Amino acid sequence: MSNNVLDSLTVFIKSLSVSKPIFTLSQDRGRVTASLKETVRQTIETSDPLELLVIYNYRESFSRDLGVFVISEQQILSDVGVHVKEKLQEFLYKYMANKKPNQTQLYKWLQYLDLRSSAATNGIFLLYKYLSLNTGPKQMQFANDSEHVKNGLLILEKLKEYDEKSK
Amino acid sequence: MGIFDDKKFDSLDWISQAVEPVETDLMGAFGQIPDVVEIDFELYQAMIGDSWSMDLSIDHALRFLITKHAQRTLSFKECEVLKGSLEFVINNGTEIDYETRTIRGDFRIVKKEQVVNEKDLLSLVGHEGIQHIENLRYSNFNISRMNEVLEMVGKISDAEMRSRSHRAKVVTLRNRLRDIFNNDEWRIRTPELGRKIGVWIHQYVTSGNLAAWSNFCRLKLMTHNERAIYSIQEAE
Repeated sequence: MSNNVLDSLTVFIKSLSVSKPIFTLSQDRGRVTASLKETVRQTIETSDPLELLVIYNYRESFSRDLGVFVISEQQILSDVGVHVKEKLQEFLYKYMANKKPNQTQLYKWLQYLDLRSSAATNGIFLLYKYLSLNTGPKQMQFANDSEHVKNGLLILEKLKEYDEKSK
Repeated sequence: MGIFDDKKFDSLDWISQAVEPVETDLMGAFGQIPDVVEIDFELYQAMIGDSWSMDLSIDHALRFLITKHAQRTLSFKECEVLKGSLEFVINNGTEIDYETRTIRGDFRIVKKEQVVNEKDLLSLVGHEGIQHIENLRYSNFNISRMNEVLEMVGKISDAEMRSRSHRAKVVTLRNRLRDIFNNDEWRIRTPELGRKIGVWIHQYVTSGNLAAWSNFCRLKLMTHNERAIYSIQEAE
């Protein structure tokens, strides 16, 4: 399974703007400190939950050799992945019909899932997107009998099966 | 000329003999740095070097300028003594722009003082020598030779002399030498000679080097001359 979502997120990350490499110099107790004059503000308007997550987790680092800010793509993707997994774990914990959801196979599978190498990565990101788009004003909050909850739980089960089969 | 004569002291003029200044090339090296150094983009980059940080400390700047203008490196202690003599002058709103590779605004390093306090220079004497003594903690040395050294430096208690602990001996010797240099008991006036004291002791207690022991004893005898010591005639 190709990680189409990750590819499209990478393209989105590359379209983001970086801070201008201008630093203000100030002195404090015999030390000159350089602080970034103006941090970049992303002006792209989007309603895609994954793209919003990318903007929220935006990271850049300054390369003194090149004299420019470089977007930390892998770091951003990794942070987005962590956030997605956390939210899905919360979803499981809240809506699984089980006394101890965190001791179920599904929960543990999700907990230890490596999004960099798993076949289910694409599905996990898309599931997060689906749940986020269909949630109420509070993220990942549904009525207990909601169809979206049933769908979400079912998709996760299928993703687990698919991931285990493809190993 | 006897073997206990100090040729360097004898060659000094009478004022210097009376004042007993510390002799070090450090002030000469410091004098090579211009009174005002304007910092441009390239110089700032060079001063930061390969540090991960964009910040610049006065220690870093001092070490850079000494290397550039005097082709010399500074020890930690020398840097501590000199760094108070330099300061950054920087205007509000000074910026470094990596796009245009320029610094906008006023950014300089200026010398606050042309000479360093004699007391500060005196603190350099013996500092490196004591470091050599510290290194004895990790060396296998002869304890009876160490006792001879302790007897020679004097003011060691009976309990400390009787101790068989290598570590305790090193600590005792280090503390005694620290007192000697801090109180200027031996009136050593060159950091190089102070360093050699540590080297001689180290060589004698670890390998029984008799030339080193002879030099140390000679120096100790010269301390009874009631005058500053700048050099000794060393045994090879």
